[in-house]
Parts: sequence; C-alpha cells; structure tokens
Amino acid sequence: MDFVLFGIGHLLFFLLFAPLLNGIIKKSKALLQNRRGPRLLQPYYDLRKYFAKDMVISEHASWLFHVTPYAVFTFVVVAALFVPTISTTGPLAVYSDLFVIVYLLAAARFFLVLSSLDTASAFGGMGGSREMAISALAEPVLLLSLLSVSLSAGSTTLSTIVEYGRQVGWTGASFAHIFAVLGFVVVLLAETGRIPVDNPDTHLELTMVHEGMLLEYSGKYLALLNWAASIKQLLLYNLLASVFFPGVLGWEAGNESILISMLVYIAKIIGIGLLFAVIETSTSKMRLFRIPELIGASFVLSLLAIIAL
Amino acid sequence: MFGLDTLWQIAMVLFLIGGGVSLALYKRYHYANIAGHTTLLIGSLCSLIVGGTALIQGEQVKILQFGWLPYSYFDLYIDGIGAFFISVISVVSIFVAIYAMGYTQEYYGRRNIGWLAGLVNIFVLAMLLVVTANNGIVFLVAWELMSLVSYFLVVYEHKDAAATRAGFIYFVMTHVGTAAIIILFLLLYSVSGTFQFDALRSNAAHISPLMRNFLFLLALLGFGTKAGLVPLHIWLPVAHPAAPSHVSALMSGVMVKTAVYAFLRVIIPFSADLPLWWGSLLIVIGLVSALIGVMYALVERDMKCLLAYSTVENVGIIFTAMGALFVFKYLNFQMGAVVAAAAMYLHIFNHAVFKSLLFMAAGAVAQVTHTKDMDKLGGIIRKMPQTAAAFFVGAAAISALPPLNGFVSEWMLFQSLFQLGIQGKTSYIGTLAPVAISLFGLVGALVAASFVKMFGAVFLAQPRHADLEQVTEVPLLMRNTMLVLAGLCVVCGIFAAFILQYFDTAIFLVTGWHISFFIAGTTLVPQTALQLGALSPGGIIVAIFVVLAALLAADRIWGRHTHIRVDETWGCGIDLTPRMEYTGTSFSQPFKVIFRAIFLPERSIKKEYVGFPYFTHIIRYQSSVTPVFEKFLYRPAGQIVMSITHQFRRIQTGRLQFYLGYIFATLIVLLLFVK
Repeated sequence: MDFVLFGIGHLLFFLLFAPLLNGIIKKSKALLQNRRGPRLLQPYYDLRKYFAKDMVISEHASWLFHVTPYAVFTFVVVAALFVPTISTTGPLAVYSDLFVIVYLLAAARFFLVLSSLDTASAFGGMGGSREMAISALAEPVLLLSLLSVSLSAGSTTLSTIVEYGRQVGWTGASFAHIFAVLGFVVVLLAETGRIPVDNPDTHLELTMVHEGMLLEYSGKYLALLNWAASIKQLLLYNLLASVFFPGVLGWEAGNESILISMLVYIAKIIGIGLLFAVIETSTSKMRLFRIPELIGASFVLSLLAIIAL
Repeated sequence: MFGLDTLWQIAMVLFLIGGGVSLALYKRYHYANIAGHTTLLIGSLCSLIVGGTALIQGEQVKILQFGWLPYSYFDLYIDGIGAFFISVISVVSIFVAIYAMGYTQEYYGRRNIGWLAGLVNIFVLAMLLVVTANNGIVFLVAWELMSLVSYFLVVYEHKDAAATRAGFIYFVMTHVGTAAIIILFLLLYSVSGTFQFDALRSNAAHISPLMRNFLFLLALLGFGTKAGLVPLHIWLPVAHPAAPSHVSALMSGVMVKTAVYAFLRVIIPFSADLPLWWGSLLIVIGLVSALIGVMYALVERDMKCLLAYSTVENVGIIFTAMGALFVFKYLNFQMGAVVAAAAMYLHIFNHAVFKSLLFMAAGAVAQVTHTKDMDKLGGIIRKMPQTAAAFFVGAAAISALPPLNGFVSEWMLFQSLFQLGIQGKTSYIGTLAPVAISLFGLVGALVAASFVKMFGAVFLAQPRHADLEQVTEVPLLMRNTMLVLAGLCVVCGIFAAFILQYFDTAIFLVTGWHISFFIAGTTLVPQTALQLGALSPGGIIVAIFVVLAALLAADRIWGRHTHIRVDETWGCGIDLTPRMEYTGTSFSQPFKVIFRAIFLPERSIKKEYVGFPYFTHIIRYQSSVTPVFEKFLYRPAGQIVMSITHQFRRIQTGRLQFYLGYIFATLIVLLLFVK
C-alpha cells in the first residue's frame, strides 16, 4: 500500500511541479535581466487558459495530428513513472532502464515531428527537421554521459545506479564524473530547448525548433504538449539530480526522513533550474549549424569521462 | 509415419512444381499467378512447420543423402541454426505469397507473370537449400542458384535501363563474393580433406592460426558482399529497389540473412579458440555499416532506395551483435555470449518482419501512384489509410520505439555491448563498447529521422502532384498481409521473451551455452540479478494503456466542451500551396550540412531575373550527394582492372604468324615441364 501511495505521489509530483519549475526559471531569468517578469504561478494559469479555449485545426491534418498530444503526454508521463526520484525501491524501480527512458522520450519526439509535417506548413517542417537533427546529435552524448556512471555502477537500471552512487558517496567524485556532468548539462540544453540551442520564448523563424513544431496546435492540444514539455524538462533535471548527484538522504519505506529528503531533492531541482537560468541569460543563441560543434565538444568530454574511468 | 523429412521433401517438390507450372501457364496469367503463389504459400507453410518444430524441440533432421556429385553427395541437414533461418525464410515467404497474389495483378497483360511467380518459387527453394546444405558443394550450387534467380528477378523489368544496370552491378558484386567463397571452401577442403560441414568442427583444431585468420577474412569478404557490409554494399541500394516489391521484401528481409547464416556456419567451428581481433573487427565493421547505411538512407529520395540503405544499417547491427558474441567467446563469459547471440537472432527475425512490411507498403504506394519518388507524393494518408497505418507501425518498429519488436532487439544489443564494456575493461574493448553504444544511439536517432521523413513526405501534408487525387487503396490481399505483419511487429515486441525461449537450440549451437537469463512473464532479465538490467515490454505497454486511459478519463470528466474549427494552415497571410511544405529533401537538409564531411554535397542555385536582381522569376536548385564509394573505391578499381586488361589486348595482334608462334611456344613449354 505504501508503494502505491508513493507511486501516486511520484506521479502527482511530476504533473504538478513541472509548470512551477518553468515558472521559477522564467522568473529568475527576468530578475537576472533586471525585469519584474511574469508571476511564479503563471504557467498554471496559462495551462488553465489553454484547456478552456476552442481549437483551430488545419484542414490538412490527419488522425496523427489529433493523436499526437495524447501520445506525447503518455510517453513522457510513462517515462516519468519509471525514473527514480528520492527512492530507489518500489515495484517500478527495476524497470527504470536508462535505454527505456531515452527511447520513450524518442517515441514522443517521433510523434511530435510527424505531426509537425502533417499540417503542410513550412514552419512545421523547419521545426521538425531541426529538432531531429539536434536530437540525433544529442543522443550519443546523452547515452555516453549516462553510461559513464552506469559502467561504474555495473548496471543500466537507473535505480541501481542511484543506489550505487549513494553508497559510494563523495568517493565517487572524480574528473570523469565532472566531465560526464558537463556533457550531460550540454545535452540538457539541447533536449529542453534552451538558449544557446533553441529559444523557448520566441516564435521567430530563425530561432524556433520546439516552438515551430507546436505552431499549429491550439487549445487543449497545446496545453497537453506544453505540459508534456515541462514534465520532460523536470524528468531530465531529475536525472541530473538523482543520477549524478545522488544526494544526502534517500527515502526507504519506514524511514522518517522523507520530508527532509523531499526538501533536499526539490532544492536540488530548483538549483539546477537556477543554473540553467544563469546559462540562458549569459549566452546568446548559437547559429543552427554551430550547434554540432557544441555537442561535439560535449561528446569529447563524455568520451574522456569513459576513458578516465 | 509422417516425419519432418517427408514434410520437407513435400515442400521442395511443391516449390519445383510451382516453378514449372507457373512457367507453363504463362499465357493464362491469372492462373499462373494463383498457381504459382499457392504453391509458394503451401510450401512455405510446410517448411515453417519443419523449421519451427526442429527449432522448438531441438531436433536435428536429416533429410536427404544420395550420391551424385564428385567428391561429395547431395546432403541436406537441419540443425538448430538452420531451423531458425528456415523459420525466418518461411514466415516472410508466407506473407510474400499472399501479397504477391494481389501485387502481380498490376503486371497482367504487360509482363510474363508465369516467369515471375515461377522464379519466386525457385528463389525461395534455393534459399532453403542454402540453409540446409550440409556440405560445401551443395552449398555452392544452392548459393549460385539463389544469386542467378535473384538476378533474373532484379532485371524483371528489363525494358527499364536502370533495372538492367542494377542487375549488372548485382551480378558482378555477387560473383566477386562467390569467388571468395569458392576459394574459402577449396581451402577448407585442402586442410581438412572433406567438404562436409559437420567434419569442420572436428578438423578445426588442426588448422594453423595463420590459415584461420585468412579463412576468416575470406569469409568476411565473400559473405559480407551478399550481406551488404560496407564497403561491399553498393549493389544493395541499386538492386533491391529495381526488383518488384515482393521480391525486394524477400531479398532484403531474407536473402541477406542467408549470408549471415553462412558466415556463422563457417566460422562457428573455429569459435572455441578465436583471437580477440575477430570480434572487434566485426563490431567496427558493423558499426561503420550501420552509420554509413543510415546516413545515405537519410538523403535518399527514392522510397525503395531508402529502405535498401536501411537494410545495410540493420545488417551492420546484426554483425555487431555477432562481433560481441565472438568477443564474449574469447573472454569465455557465458552470460554475455548468450545475450549477444539472442540479440543477433532476435534482430534477424525482427528485421525480416518489419523490413518486408515496409517494402510491401512502399510497393503498394508505388503501384497506385506510379512513382517511387518521395518528393512527388504527399497527402495520401486519407486515400490509403490502412497502408499508411501499417507503414506507420513498420516505421515505428524500425526506429526502435518501445514496446515494439525493434526496440527489444536494439535493447538486447545495447545490453550485450554494455556487458562488453564492463568485462573488457582491461583492454581496448572497454572503451570501444561504450563508444559503440553511443554511436548506435546516433544511428537509432538517424533511423527515426529517415522514417519520419519518409512517412511525412509520402503520406502527410498536401499532395504535391495533381494526379494524386485519383489514388485509391490497394487490393485486400495486399492490405491484409501488411496489417498482419504490423500486428506481428507489436506482438513480437510485447512477447519477445516467449519468442526468445524458442531460440534456445540455435543459441546453444552458436555459443555452447543455453539461455541462462531469467524470463518472467514478459520480462527479460539478461543478467542473473534483477537489478542489473531488465526490460519489460509488457510492463511498458500496460503503463502506456493505464496512463492513456487515465488521461482520456480526465479529459471526459474535467474537460471543457470546446469546439474545433477547421481552417487553413497559416501561410504567412498568402494562400498555402503544396509548394510551401517541406519535402523529404528539405527535411534531410540539416543532416546534409552537419555531416558534409561524409556526404560531400554539391549544390547549385541559379536564378533568372527580369530587369533587376530583386525580381527573380525562375530559381533552379540542384543538390546532390557524392557517391563516395563508387567514386573513390570502385571506379579507380574498375579503371585499374580495365587498364590491365587493355595491356593483355596486345597479344591479340590479328596476324596468323603470332598465333602459330604462341602454339609452338606453348608446345615447347609443355614438353619441357610436363616430364
């Protein structure tokens, strides 16, 4: 029964905290840029607005267009179900294989890019092709940086990796670890669509990758896709927090420190969010064809992490 | 007693009858179609029963043995490995038979259906003979028969110059490979004194390491040509598209796997004592083939060429799994070897299923639209909904989306490479394996990109040509096979654990160990402890259904009743035309730029204007990718061969005195040396 409650809590955390994380990052970016910025809870209001609005659907759209928001949301939430947050036990813990998580996110992307081509608009094609190109380059780096920690742990199951990291503690920190973290941070920039890879705040032709794919969506569908994007962002930050910095306290059934471990975990996530807000404010968006150089550099870093193991 | 060998003989006779009857009935094309393909269907069912029973029950079936050839006799034998490949061949040819009954209706009155149906029967028979041959001579005869029959099938559309050129390249490349294979078998005969395959294992110990290495390289050259390993792959993207679609499905899904079978058959006897570099070379070649295959698939415009390049990529995956298997045998690590063998077999089966589905769907589209060019299609998802749905499942399966079958075999490959990374920490393998995993991640993402491009350009958006308005759905026979294959992709993904248990005999014969991994329900646990890596496709699909159900329920309970208005897509304020949407070529343009070191793309843009340069009225855009292997490898090699042969023309002077002189000189030489 404990586990079921924990599972539901885990799921609700991902669903409810994801927009708040977005709001925190937006607010911190604004404060860094000397603006007041939107209120912290604005993403929730946005979601409520989108769910209530009517939809305008292109006349060229097929069944794929209507299925995609549900498919993307489902794949991202299923991936979120499987990742370990503060606990590494539980009935779903053994199925949290890192390849499964990566490929579930790839499945969500498959549907989204196809739907962007569905509406016969040039913006959709542009966003879709750029998204496939950037994510194709980011995928080897993602795998390589996660592999460096999983090779030391001896398993590809994320809960085992987190458990191993917790047992090893500070002795596990090394240059290999630092390189892997740097590589993973660059991948996070690419996967969550932040400056310098993509600009999440504009809908300009020159800068849009993720926004280009969402351009033809409105109303309920747009709400689902935006929510799924923020859940994916939270999921990836969670990977950075739990896998690379396994943390001081974890929760096992019966342990009273659940509150402290939850607070530490949320502090880690918000810290990562602030880190990305600082990165976004301090750099500008790179030219599209310079992005492979950035990702290539992080590939070399992750490769060094593997060799230095 | 109705034994398995009798059933096999019935199947072979059926194929022969089918071949003969179809050829005889060529004037009555409808009857030739029905007769030829019915024998194919029933023969394949029989061979599936034989192969499946032999595989599941682990029997070894001796079929025929009679002496009629010098140095050997006609000997067919089915063991675990052969049974597996027979099952794969039979499954694909059952679906091809039904599909072809509908597909060949296009050729009524235009071409000789009897020839097509008859040849397909003989082709499948030849492939089955290849995987059951028990000695080198029978193998070579069956191999050559398979190559010749497939050549005639490739040039079936002989009026098309591209098809005849494709047939020529295929003919040359396959005989280059066959030459290497003949040398291989002759060398094996010279060191072990027999052509029999079962004797290879006992004689393998007597062969010197140098000779073994040479035999390995010969086998790689010979069988790699047929399998389509880089750089011997150039025939695949021209020959597979040129053939009729059901033949392409057979060639891509099954014929390249016979090369994998043959390689296994020849090399496994040496696996008790093999060097490390054999396995690492296979891993590297597999990785390079996968990368090159998928990159060229990305920039292809022709639907079937894209699918053919994707076959090159999947063959690379299979050979990488084989390489991992060999490295584990070198390290004597049971768990890893079994996982690698399971990954290899599972991918062979899965690829046969989804690749034949994709070729059938591409053939269906090409048949009704009369074009294979993706950039001329578009918007036919509403006209051909079932073909589109089947194609979608095939594209999702090949892009390794969970929980379909492609994902399960890729996951097993990743697990075996991961184990390699852990076990091989002391040597270069410890770095090669993780790099291989990450590059296969790149390959997987590029595969997804190419199939998104293909599905999007062919089915989605607006039709790029006015003729596409008249497109209708294909006949029921073709649709049903595609839908069943799509269902098979889903089922084989979710229940992969059950299927793997049946491969135990085949895995045992290749590795020397039985499946030791833990299978609980639909969960696969390749390592002995549950925490070290587990995959539950059943769990994933259940989770997907639960979340989707919850989402739809939440939508019904709390969802606001919103209206949907249908309107035109935003086109920046001007009327949207089909010219504005992204074509397949535009979709892959970022990749062309990013990987320009490999593609060496050439681009020319010419503008014509009236008056001022600002008022351009025609733009000519031309973009091409340099065919690197043809330009830098094959053309120079061909030129060297031609220049050498031109030197030989000097002996043909045309004057009688020289020829008499040659005869005289030869006579002297023979008299001196034959003493």
